[in-house]
Amino acid sequence: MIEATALSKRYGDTLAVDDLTFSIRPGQVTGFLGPNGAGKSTTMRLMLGLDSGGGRTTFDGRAYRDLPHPTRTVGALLEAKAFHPTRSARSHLRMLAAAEGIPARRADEVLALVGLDQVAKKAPKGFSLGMGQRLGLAAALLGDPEVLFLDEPANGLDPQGIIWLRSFLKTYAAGGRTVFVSSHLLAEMAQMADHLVVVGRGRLITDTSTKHFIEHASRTSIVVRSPEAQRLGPLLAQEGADVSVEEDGALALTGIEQARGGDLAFGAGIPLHELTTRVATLEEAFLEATAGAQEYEAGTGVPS
Amino acid sequence: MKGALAYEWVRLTTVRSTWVLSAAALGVAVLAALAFTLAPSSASTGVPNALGDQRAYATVLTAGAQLTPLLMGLLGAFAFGHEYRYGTIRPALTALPRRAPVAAAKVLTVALWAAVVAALTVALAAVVALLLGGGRFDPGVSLTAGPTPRMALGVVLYIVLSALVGLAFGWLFRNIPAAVSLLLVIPTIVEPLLKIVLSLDALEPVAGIGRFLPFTAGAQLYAYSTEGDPGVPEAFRSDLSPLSGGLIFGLLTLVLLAVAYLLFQRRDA
Repeated sequence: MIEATALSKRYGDTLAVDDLTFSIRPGQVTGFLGPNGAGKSTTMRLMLGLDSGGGRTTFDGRAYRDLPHPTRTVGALLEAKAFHPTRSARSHLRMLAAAEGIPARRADEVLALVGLDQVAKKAPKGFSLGMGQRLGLAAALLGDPEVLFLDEPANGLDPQGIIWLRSFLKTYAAGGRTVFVSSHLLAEMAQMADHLVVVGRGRLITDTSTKHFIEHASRTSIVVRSPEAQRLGPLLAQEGADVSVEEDGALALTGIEQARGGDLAFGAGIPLHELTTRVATLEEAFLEATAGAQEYEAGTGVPS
Repeated sequence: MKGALAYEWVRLTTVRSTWVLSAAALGVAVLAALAFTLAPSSASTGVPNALGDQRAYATVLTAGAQLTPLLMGLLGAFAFGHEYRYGTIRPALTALPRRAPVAAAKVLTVALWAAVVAALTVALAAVVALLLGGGRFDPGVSLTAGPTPRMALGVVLYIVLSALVGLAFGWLFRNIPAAVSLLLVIPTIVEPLLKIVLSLDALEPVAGIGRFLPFTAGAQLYAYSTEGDPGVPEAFRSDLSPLSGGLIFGLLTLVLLAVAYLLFQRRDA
């Protein structure tokens, strides 16, 4: 169990991470979502003690720097292509393995695991972004860690690579281990993560199961505007619709067909000014949520 | 600490620049020794005993001092410079979250490597002098005569300190071009220029501080003679003892390392 409490980080006047508290459970993939600049990478660096800032993060009760075997506990991929261009992939991994006395043959194992065994002895300067990501992932796997901490690991991967990564991480988590993976690719995340921590402008937007997030966010609703909304609402509810009144007085309906709603209103002689279907995708919900946070952050507009 | 040393050893030995710089240092020492040893003999130049005395012999041994400090300074600058340049500092500090051992391991490894390379330059120069210059030195000339042992040790120390100054520059600026420029410019341009400025008549009262410029002072570690030549302008006079000169250069190194370390503990990786 990883617990991040009241994380904060300030760069000059900008609060990049603002009082972020969440926890990450083992046995599932936790997605860390947010638009570019939301503070995801900064948060991950704060959690690992690479950057200094407010708050604390514990890994089963211990701060990262107090872990007796950091590489065997947490495997982190923070940046693609964090390697010296002329040091071979194998030497790069041997170097990181040496820090914790992990035998050099483990470097070959993880290279094979990520599919880089053919280029193990090559200088990685010619590596594509995807190959760089694979090498970074190999480095994270060196200690066969309990926790994987991956910042945008799908960046630059080809479709096969993404599918492989997805199943790999799901299997990893299914074995009772912890996977914390950031991304701005929502569709990808929806297929991979069991749980989501969503941030915008450094603040926590939601910390919920992916299932809940998607159901809540992507449910298609019907928007009805009518001068007699107060009469229409109960009528629709009787027909099994789930009715909620929006701030501007419009009714948002779920559980009823658009045509059926229109027929009911017509039958009761209720005039309609609008009858539309609103499809909220995960992306839209996410953008809405993060835009709200942005507005809140700036403190100038009225939260929508 | 063991892990940090193991990391650092693999880091240092698996990057090409380490081998290129070290080979260059050895090559320069051998070439310089050859050039001194095989210089036109006294018969052809008309200068008696051009190569023969103990001073010439000691000069051959420390010939590598001309370029090796810079080469090992670069090696030092890369210790942190490469980590920041290529982003490996984050994986490094993720594997080794305690920063003090990381810093200590880098300082120790670079110092040791530079010491071995420096010692080899002296040893290779000695071999060249013995094999090729044997007949042309005075009979009394030896490795242990006069200030020669102190010079040999001094040049090793000077090279080690130069490597650590390079390491501190790379660490402070986290930028290889900045570190390399300083390494190049301070000993070869800044200090000589300052000495020229100090030799101006108007600055006569403070001309003496020229001898305390760090690289100038440090070079006294392998100076043959420590008696300042009264014929030389005050600003150019190097009459510090090897110990004082070494202490000044050592102090500069220590201060740079200390500042870099304090920043390293506080800065984001």
